[in-house]
Amino acid sequence: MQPLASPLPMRRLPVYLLLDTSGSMNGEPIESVKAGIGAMLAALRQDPHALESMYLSIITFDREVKMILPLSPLESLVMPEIVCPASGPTNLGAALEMLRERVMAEVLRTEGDTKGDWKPLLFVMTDGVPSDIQSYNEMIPKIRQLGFASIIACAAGPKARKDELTPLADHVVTLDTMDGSGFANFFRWVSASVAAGSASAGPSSGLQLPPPPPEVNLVF
Amino acid sequence: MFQADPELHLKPLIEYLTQLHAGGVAHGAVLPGCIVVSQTGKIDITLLGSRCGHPEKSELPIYYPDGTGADISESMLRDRQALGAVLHYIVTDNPPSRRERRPLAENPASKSWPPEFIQTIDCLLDGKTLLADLTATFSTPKIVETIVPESELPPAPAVIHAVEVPRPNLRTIRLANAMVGREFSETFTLPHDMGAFDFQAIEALSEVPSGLRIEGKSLVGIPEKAGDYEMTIRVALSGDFGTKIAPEFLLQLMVNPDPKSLWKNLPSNREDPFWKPDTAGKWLSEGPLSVIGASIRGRSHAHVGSFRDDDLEMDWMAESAWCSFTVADGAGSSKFSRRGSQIACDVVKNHFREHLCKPSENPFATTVAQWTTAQDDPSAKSKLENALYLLFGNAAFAARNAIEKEAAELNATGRDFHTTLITSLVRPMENGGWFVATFSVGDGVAALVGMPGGIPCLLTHPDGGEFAGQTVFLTMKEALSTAEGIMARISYHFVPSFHALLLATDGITDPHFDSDTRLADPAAWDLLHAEIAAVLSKATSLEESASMLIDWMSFHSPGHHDDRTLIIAKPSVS
Repeated sequence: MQPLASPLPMRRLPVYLLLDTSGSMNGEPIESVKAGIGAMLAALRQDPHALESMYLSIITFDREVKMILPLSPLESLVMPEIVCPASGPTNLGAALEMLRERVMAEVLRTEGDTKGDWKPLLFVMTDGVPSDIQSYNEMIPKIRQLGFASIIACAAGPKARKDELTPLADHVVTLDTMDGSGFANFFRWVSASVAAGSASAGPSSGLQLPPPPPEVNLVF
Repeated sequence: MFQADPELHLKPLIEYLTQLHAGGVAHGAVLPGCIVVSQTGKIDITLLGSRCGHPEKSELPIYYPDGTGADISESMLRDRQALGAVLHYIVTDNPPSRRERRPLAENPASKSWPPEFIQTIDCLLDGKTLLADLTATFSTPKIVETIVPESELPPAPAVIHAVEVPRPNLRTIRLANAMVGREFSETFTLPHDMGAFDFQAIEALSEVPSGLRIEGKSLVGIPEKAGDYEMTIRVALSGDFGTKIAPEFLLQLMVNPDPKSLWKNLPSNREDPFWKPDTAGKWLSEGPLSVIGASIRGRSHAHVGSFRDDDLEMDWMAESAWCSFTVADGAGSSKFSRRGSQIACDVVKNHFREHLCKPSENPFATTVAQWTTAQDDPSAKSKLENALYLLFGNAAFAARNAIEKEAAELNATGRDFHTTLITSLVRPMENGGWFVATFSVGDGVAALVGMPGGIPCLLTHPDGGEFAGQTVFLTMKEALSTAEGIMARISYHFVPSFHALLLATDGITDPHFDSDTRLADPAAWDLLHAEIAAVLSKATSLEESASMLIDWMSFHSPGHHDDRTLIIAKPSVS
């Protein structure tokens, strides 16, 4: 098994993670999310597909929207600090706006001299309802046009309303509790979805999701 | 070691603290572990700033390790004591304690503070000028020891309690990620707020991950084991570790596994009704072309024990001198695509055999011959295109119909059998030269290598979308929906000579051609052909060539693990 003399730049699987860091996430929920992401990355590092082709970007949203991790290869990425203010609104609309700019700028599409990336994946995690509802509603069709293979939203905890997320996402999952095991299960499921996404070299039909873990409720 | 000079070393620190206290601002703990002194003796005061406008340096201890230091007055008191510790640290070669972590209370006399230290601190804090002889007193540790007999020392001040507790949390520094088996070399750099300080060497205080070692200022080597490692290191700021100023850090390093080592090779299920071998080699030893072909299961399928979805067929029809070659790539996400590609290859081969084998019953060869001798004649061209349209169009439809028929028998749909189809007909012409025609649906290609200029090397137009993995399948309605569309999938050329005709699925072309532009570049195909020819040069038979081709096709290219299928047809040396 010889490596190619000059390996070509590989096709990337861009994965975007939008994380709610509004006031209500402060404390145990955000710590659980961090632990969940850490475990997810550790699991993905054991998947050869993901290790070779996955690129991850993390955008957090509260009063402010921050891209805390620019699109980086799994192999070399270092988890940034996730800061959650003690209080603040859930500006998901503004987060989608930044997401759109990033996707337009960094996801490669096939042209004469360029090979396109795999279709990107989007995971949105929130424990509330968007505070900037008008902007959120305006962004939904724009996000849907970006060519995501799949948009998966996670409504965590009792205050999250899945109805708000169904127009945005192909799949909405709900977590009844916002503790460590719930988030751990969700991110385990995310990593399984990403692994499935990076392995699928199929037609442009939607991503086949693995069945969700018991604590994650898939909403149709 | 630089010449100890308490005024030079401590004054900026004291002024800074005074300023903070005057402003009512709390600050980071004044501990030797947090104080860095440059070779010229300047103290880096920014390290203490964690509570006054440097929130990102959260790893700095903001309280004394024993939990005090929370309010201003307490912190002022502590500062006075801690400065004594710092001064001691700077001036003597053996500061009381910190590394040994010996409980000082056990033997207070041996570690107590000379009154000169306390005096000096008081002088400095009160803004008084240091006495010259006092400075001289501190210029060597030896004098300190001789001047103050241990028995006469006052009881140890409170600061010794602060220093006997465990070291404050070390600052962490994360290095760039490494990978098992890959050369690693990362030069250690101090955090940006310590950037003014030069340093000479680092020393590991705990185990270094296997395969790595410290060389000068760098961590180098080839890591052997994956993991998320932490190690403690010491930085010699002024030449060697015998000096007092050697701050410690916690170094974090992620070593990724080598993805090559993670690929599993699980057998496919032989009990499956559509099972086929994970590799296939074929060759044609008779006819005007010597032909080899191979098809292998991609790593992505081997990893999960699924099947090879690609397929290939080749044929030499001696009666009419036609050769046909077909490759097909089943969609990874369709459950029976391995069967879809197989049906496509079989049906197309048989369709050509049925229509081209008996020249007396089919005027196609004559039509081709007429066109090759009069390529500018519109009627000859139109007659040829009609014949090609019927031949390729019907072959494609026959393949699709056969797939749909089998799908219906299984209560499945054509979608479950999605496959691409790349097929080529080649015939040596009576007056020399070759006629080459191709038809393709999907992202595989047919290409010619080594023909005279003017003829495009790429014979097909691969169907692709704006993202990777998007293509058109034979089993999709749109593939054969209009006559114009079908005609556009056909190409035909008269070629005086060529070195090789290649038919390849995207498992071969993706790792070798980085864009559609490159795919149309004859030089790129020459390179690929030369690479393969070099590999096959030692083969003594076509069978051996096919087997060598299978070996070559398992080349490793990160991110490219699809099934791979390739047919190479070369004019036989006669």
